[in-house]
Amino acid sequence: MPQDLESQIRGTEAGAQPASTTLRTSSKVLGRITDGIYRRPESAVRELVANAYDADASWVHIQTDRPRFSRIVVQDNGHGMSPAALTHMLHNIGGSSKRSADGIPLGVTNLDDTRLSPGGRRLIGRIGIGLFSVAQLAYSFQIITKTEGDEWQTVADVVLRQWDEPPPDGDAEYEAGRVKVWRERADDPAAKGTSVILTSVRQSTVETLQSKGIWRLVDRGDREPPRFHIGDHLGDGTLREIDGTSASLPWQSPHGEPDEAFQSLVGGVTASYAQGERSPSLKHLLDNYLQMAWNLSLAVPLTYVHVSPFDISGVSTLRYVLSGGVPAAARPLDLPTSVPVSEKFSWAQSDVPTDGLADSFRVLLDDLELRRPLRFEDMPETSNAIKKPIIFYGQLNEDFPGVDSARSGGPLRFSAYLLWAPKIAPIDNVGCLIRLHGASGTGFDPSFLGYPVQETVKLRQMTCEVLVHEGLEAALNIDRESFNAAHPHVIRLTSWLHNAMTRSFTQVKAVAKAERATKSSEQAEQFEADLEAIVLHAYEEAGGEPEDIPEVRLAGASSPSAPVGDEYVFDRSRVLGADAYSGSKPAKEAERKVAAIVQVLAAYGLLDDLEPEDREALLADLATIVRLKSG
Amino acid sequence: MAEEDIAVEEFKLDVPEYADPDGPSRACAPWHRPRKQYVREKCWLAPTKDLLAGVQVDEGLRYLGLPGTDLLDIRYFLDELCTDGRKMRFVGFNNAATGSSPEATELSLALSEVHLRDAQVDAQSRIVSDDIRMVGSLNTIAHDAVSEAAPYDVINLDLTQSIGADPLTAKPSMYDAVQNILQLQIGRTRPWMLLLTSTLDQPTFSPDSVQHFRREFDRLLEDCPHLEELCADLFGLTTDALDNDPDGNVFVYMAAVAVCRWLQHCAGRGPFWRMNLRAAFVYELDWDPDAYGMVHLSVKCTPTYATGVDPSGLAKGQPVHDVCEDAEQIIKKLEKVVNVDAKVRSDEALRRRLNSRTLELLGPRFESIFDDWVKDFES
Repeated sequence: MPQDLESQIRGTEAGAQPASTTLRTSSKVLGRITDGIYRRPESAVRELVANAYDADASWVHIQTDRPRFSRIVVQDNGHGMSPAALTHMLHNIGGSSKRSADGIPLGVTNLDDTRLSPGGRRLIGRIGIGLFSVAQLAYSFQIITKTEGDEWQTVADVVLRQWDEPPPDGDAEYEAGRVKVWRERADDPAAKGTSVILTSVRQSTVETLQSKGIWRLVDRGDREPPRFHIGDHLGDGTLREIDGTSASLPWQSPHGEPDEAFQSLVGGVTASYAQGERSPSLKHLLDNYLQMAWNLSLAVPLTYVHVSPFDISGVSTLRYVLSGGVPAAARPLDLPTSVPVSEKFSWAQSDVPTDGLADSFRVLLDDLELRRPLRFEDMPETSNAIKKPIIFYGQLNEDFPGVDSARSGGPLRFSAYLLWAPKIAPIDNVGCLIRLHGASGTGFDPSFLGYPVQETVKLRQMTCEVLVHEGLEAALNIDRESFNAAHPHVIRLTSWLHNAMTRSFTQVKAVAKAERATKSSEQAEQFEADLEAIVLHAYEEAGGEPEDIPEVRLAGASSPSAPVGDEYVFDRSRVLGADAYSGSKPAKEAERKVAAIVQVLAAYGLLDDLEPEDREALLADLATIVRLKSG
Repeated sequence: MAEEDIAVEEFKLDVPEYADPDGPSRACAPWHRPRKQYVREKCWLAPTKDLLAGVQVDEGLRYLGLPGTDLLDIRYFLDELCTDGRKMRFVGFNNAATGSSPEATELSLALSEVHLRDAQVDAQSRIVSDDIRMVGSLNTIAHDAVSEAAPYDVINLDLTQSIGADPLTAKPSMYDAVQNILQLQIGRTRPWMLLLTSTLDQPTFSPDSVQHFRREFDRLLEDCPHLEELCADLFGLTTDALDNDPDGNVFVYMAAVAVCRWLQHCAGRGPFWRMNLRAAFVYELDWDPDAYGMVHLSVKCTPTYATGVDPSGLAKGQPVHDVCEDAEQIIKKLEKVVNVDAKVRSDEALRRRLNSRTLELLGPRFESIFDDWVKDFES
């Protein structure tokens, strides 16, 4: 059958009618899809981007006619599919030829290593339902695909079967759609790539992307419009006018470059805290489309919007290394502040592979060039004692010695960073995000894989990424949005993460304590300096010299009461009353203020004419005033 | 929206029937004729090449147009103007291609191919599926799309009907759309091209727009009285002739002059640019070599930096240029209008070359139908 279809497709080059076939899958796979594993539009788009990455594309363009969303195109310049590869895909939804020897002749797998793409990238896709994920978004779609050197391109027109009847149980094959496939002469034989065009977008998808739910709440007065949005499409191409404009976008238009536009989006979200958004969350700040852009940028293998966490300097952050076993403390990074951690440890690298392909992997969503929307410098300022973010680097190389790989799942290797900051903005970035070869479907897990310690405040101040280089793939569930918690790799990773967090929090607390002590000491020094300045000023006003300033002593029971030289001596108990020996900070400050008052009065010659008894009585009254508290 | 309405929203869209998809269907179109390729080469490309001479390639090329589903015009400009590192960012309007119709498939194929030319095409280039008239309303997808890429180096209003077809009361109208597009050109510092293709014979105008453009022409003559004699001498264009020969070329000339004047002034108080008619071509009306229908105008617009008038007279401002000079140049250029049909009909070698180039632009998938289709056309 596949051979026949391929022949029929090629036959259209000679003028034969388009080949007709059906989209076939097993009921098991279909069941998973109808379970709604791709619940959000970005999940399905993410799968198409992953396919492009696996096809060694250097760019992917996601083009929508936002905010209408009647048409969505995902185009890449990857290897494209030959008629044979397309045939295999149409008849094997859920049975990808990737990661198998079958993929080699079809041009989707590396000749030497089936875990790699033809160009050497670590494959992200695994189960071959990526393309079928568009079933969640559209009633029909087209594929236009071309391989390099082919004078023809292949077009597949697909109408998907709607869920009008329950699929059969078991492993029976299910007809999921009807397809027409034909060949078209190509404009440029050297060109290559694939376009997936959603021609009839589901109304529910349109409504979601148009943020209709949000706008209904706005209409009811139940919420404000999102701070940033693409506009509310009222139908027929017209948009709602809000504050004199149709859209509220953080990037400058016209002439905004796509990478600058995305930086503006990230900057706009991050800055919202300083602009009064106390708990900045994506769902309040962004409409659904911009949230899709944000979440997509977290999910696919991209570089960071600014600097990689492994390339930041010690100027703007405090840096520690998590090494050694528990309970070893985190060690300060032994590097000059200008040198990034990536220069010291080979494992401390960004997970975006540097194979020459991924470096140039660009994803554009309309006007935005997506990057990982994570910033590690210029974090929001707060009143917290710790002003700089604290970043902890760590790694794991686990070979599970002595355990059969069938039980352990083989080696597990990853590097990670945990970043603590007084405020994480947006709050959606709180949590742990696990990446496999640069990609992640899980997003940030705010529970940190179920961190069991009660650290309510500190948990809200932590964001981390675990960048898996080897292992864990078998633990990934079919939707690529969750893990099998019982898998040995998940158990080991969880254990490592929780230990790392405990050590990180301990260090954060130590830093905070030290900061508080320093601050307290600085405050005391400042207090002393202020008093000295007041006294000095008084002596200058009165025509005295600094050398004239007398010492003041509040004598206790065990200290001599007789003055030495020109010092003033008072009875501690009489002057300070109940606070004479408390030793508290307010009492010490009161004592110091009283001494300064004595010096000021002396400067103006107001003390020496008084009898010692009166002097002491005066000072006792003044000390009472100094110690007086309102309420 | 009420909850019960939300429940039925899903079914409002035309859900495609579960049946075999349509498959391919391809046909040639009027813009594949040799005369149109002649217009592309002589009327559009040549002046645009002059415009871009001396402009750094990294300045790119911003293009607004009304392409067919084959994106032929865009391919042509890419081939001719973007082979030296210059990247085009285009915004096109085509409201014929929606869903999974054969036209939509054709557009998808063309867009896919054009975007793969990533050294020549800016990724933000897009086709908007609205009628360009929607640009006439500010809060629309169409207006946003145009403004995001504005201002443009080339605005190609390649209309299939008359620029004066809409009644003056129409909403949205072509007039509002053109005004909004041109307003987005204000503030541009480099010259730009305005390419206009429109039928200009009187029956293709709405009755009230006929009167409007005649008033526009009258105002020109009031401002520049010396042009009255020039128009009479060159075209026999007089009030009397207009009244007595409403379907003839006299009206076409009048309309061409009046439309140019409107295009110079409609963006607001200025005018903000000088207009220089670089080329004027016509198609015959109903194969009558003496009757003109479709007119192609290629106008170079040069910003003037005209400032407003200080009512106190303190600031001098920039002097407003003499619009009569521009109008005189336009009128004299119109006198040399090229009859494209006659030109192409009379030169078989030229016709063969134009057809060959058109097919090259259309790509090999038109090979099987193009020759058979085009042989019926002498121009």
